[in-house]
Amino acid sequence: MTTSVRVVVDAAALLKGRLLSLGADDTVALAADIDTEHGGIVVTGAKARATVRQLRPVYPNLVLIEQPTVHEDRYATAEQPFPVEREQDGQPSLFENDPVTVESVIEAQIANGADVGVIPTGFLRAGDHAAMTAVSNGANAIKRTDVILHLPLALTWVTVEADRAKLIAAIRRSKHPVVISLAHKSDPASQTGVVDGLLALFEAVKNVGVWHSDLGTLEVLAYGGLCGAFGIRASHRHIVEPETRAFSPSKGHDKSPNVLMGALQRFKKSQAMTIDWFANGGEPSCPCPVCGNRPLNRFTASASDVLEAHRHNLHLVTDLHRGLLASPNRRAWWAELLAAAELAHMELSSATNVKIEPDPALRKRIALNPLTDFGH
Amino acid sequence: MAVPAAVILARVVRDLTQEELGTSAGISQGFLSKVERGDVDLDGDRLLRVAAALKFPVEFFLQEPGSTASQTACAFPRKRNSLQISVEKRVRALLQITRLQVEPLLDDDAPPVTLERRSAEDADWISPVEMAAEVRARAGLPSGPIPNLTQLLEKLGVLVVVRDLGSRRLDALGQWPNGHRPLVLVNSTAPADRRRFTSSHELGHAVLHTTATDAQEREADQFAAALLMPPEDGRKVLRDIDIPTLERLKAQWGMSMAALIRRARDLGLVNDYRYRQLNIELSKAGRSNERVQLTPESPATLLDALARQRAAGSSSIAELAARARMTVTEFENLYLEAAS
Repeated sequence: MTTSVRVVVDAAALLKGRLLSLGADDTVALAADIDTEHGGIVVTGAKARATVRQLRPVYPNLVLIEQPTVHEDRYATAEQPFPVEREQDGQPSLFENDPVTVESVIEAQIANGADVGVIPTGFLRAGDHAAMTAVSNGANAIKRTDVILHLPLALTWVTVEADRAKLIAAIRRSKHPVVISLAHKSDPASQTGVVDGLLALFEAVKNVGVWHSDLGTLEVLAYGGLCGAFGIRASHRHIVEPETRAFSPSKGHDKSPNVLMGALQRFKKSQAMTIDWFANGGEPSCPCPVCGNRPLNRFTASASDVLEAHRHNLHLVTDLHRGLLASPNRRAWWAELLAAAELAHMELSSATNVKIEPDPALRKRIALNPLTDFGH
Repeated sequence: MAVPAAVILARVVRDLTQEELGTSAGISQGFLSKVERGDVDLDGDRLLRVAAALKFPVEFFLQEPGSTASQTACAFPRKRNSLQISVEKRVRALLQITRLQVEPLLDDDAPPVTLERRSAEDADWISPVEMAAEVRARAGLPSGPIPNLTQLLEKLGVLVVVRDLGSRRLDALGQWPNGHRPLVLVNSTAPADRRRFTSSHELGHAVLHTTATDAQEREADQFAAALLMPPEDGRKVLRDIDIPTLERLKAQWGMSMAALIRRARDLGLVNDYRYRQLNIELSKAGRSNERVQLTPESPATLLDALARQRAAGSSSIAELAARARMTVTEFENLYLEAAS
């Protein structure tokens, strides 16, 4: 009989500089494309545990993390920052003799195959500083090192100075690496004050990563932060506050996949690309290994095309990530990338005779990361 | 022999230059300057003339004006940047003199100070929002509107004095030296809702700050907003707000409509677009002259103490005025007429 001894992982060391891919069971089909040295997978959703269990034996060297979903329907409160007890209709469930604790949730994640545990924090409402204090105290009471503190946040935690100051204080005193996820019905970074607030946060603390995001994952790394987790689907590039519905497109909407356009550093639905910009041709081709110089607007809503688009997105992001890691000055690299994206918008506008402007988040990032800061 | 600091304090609070005081007291500016520097003594007939010109009893000038703590503790003005330095200097002097006058007038039945400051080691962690919740809990205040904010401050041992501060650019000045009570000097010319927010703001300084910091005004504002409307209350009442709702909430919560809109934004209940839209609507309706007007609150601690002492026959008006180092006329004008 053999006994396996698990090496205790230092979560901060494991996450440092890593760009993870975040999704649900759709991560299984992408796992083979993940960079094991600098990447990994965060699995979320109802089937997260089963997905991690499925992936672990096939990819023993891949960083795997299970993200609890308690923040989707429960708030963190001063009394209960980690609302993990089983309840049905407000009553204790039949499992009340088998108490669920934060420790047991973490232990279960790791026993299931995750490399590190994620603390199951409830959603932190705007202005609820008492809940943040309880989260911080509760997390710091956990003595193990293989744990990440996940903070699912209302936008005010980065946009409103009072909340941001409290968030910064919580991250500074955290004994565990911290990752934040921002809630909005659609793209958080496009909302007023979010990019500014995030940059102020990244300037203030380095022990922080950004999950459920898009280019924000590279941004946090460019500013010396801990890690990022890039949402594979648009719905995984933000979270939603409990009792709130995400923006849902009308019936018959464009179901083609969101495709990352490398030069532009933005996503656009494949079908919308054709209609809005390339009705008269001029669509760009992509040299990534998935696309092999085929056009970016080729993806249909079929399952195989959606998967291929996700693989394309993953390859592009991985390439960008490698570029960032290799750069001696990551802030300058980021500013150059943004400036190039702005230029690419102008060039595409000129080539297509359609006015194509950076989206609000990209515009803000360009404004806040001027090349002139780096002697250009 | 007059104490130079007392002469300076009295002159500044009366808003007189050395030249003006000299003319009024029949003394040269040069001599007065030497008095204030402590180079020459002011006594005898010249002291009487200076005291008369400044409308203080001679006794005022014979003692140090307050303890070192009350002179050196940080005072926090809530003001606009355009406030003239001379006005701020005068109001700071007024704050110091008000403390000198009021503290000796209190009796043992005045509410003790039950407030506690945020400790230095908690300064980077316990937020103004949490301190506001702590103050509410300390006062036994449930969630919901604070019916009388001045009463709350006084219940916690804060001295509140309402005076015309002579400029609309200054709402209040507060100070809490060690070993003394917190004192808030509120401008009587400010509207009632603004006075409530300002008093909360100064209470915030009292519990949050002992020295000046870059974030002090912002933090005091955050404290004030959370004290007047805790986050959990805001989430209940500030959803889907419009101008008529804000008018109703203003009457109920004693906060200006502009402050309510800001609170809704800070609690993530209105987005930036709606925030701007509401402010435009408010401006159209007359932001500076909001339709709903509140009744100004008046402090009671001092008046109650004076009433108790007079009812018990323990002190005459002349004795009370002497204790406050004031002339009887000024004492009656400032502290007794206000009561009647």
